[in-house]
Amino acid sequence: MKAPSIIVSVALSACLAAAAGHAQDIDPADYIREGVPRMPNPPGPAPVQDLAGVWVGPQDRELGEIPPLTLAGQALFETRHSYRAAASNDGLGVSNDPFITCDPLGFPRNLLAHAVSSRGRFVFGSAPDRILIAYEQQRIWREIWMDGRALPEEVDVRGAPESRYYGYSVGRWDGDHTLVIETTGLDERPWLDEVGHPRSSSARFEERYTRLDEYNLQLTVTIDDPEFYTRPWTWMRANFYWVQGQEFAETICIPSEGIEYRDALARPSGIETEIP
Amino acid sequence: MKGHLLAAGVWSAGLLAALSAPVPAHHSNAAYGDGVTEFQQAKITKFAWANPHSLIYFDATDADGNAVQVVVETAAPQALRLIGWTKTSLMPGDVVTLRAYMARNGEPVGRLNKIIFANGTDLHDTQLGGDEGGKTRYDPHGFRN
Repeated sequence: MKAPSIIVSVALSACLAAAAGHAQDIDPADYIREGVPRMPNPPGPAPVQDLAGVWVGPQDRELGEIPPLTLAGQALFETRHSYRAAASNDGLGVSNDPFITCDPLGFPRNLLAHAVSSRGRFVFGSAPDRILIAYEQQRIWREIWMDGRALPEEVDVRGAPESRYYGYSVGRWDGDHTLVIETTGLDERPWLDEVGHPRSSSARFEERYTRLDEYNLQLTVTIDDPEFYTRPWTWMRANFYWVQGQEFAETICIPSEGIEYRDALARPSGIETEIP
Repeated sequence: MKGHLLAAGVWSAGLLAALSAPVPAHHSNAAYGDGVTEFQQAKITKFAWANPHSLIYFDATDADGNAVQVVVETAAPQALRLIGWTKTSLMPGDVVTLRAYMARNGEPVGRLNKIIFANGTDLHDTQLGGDEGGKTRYDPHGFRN
């Protein structure tokens, strides 16, 4: 027996807002953002040289203005077609965003929490001589060497290490509450951002994580990439917040799921038609 | 149980266009129309709790009385969890009321607005789950990012 169906095309109006109760009835005073619970007590002071724990963000994200690209940077940038741009006009064009096929986001694009804006989670942990940072999205991790070693001067030449999607990172404490991380040696295939800007294997990144108090962490990321950009700049400023319960989920881009999405939804809807 | 079909066109494209707002999105929703289509007695056949977007497969009946198989997308699991969804929020066989923005090209695919369960509770889409009209974001308490 077929279930009875009623199909009603409606223009949403205020009456619909009252049509049903909400599955979760939350008090905004309890949340700093949708889905991000506020910690129950006022923050205590930041512990000394300690970021350990699970954080969520980037919130209040500010991306700096991209400086003029070099000829080499511009040439590479022009080969890239973002998914958003491809889908944001009547043409519904084609994107070559590597994440469509679940290729690694790479550093620092992974910091943008691609799948869920401003609500990505990561955890600071540790191992001998290292700080580890593990990210919910793609369940990937970085290691930040704290033993004073130097970063590679170059990669992918004889005698030098190979480039990596998440590069090579070293860290140091600047005072009691700021961790400074320098990263280089990146594989050049991942995009810098959602738009498709490039970053070279010789680019140098500095992340400054300043723990303001028990629950609040500020991040500033600067980039110096003379191969592709005409001057250094502050790429992102953002805040991270302590995760209530410290739970850590996983969000993985799985190629077979991507293919299902493409075939069942994207192609029929016209979002994209030519991505392999 | 006897079913009956009601097709009511309450359509105000001009109003919807005026109410449309920018949507923070993994991709844009230009492929979908601005008006909401409501499927009552939608029978869930599959809920793909997946990236890049979760997919809801269901059987319904179109305005002409034909059985149709529909797929609508909603957000990634990581985003849905934060507004109350779980992997088992929808199970095959569940019968719900489902509102969606359907594809402009007429294919039976769309973007979810909200699911309304028999007990009156609901689950919204993260991007287009608003109640204010047009493609408005689910933001009942004024949270903004």
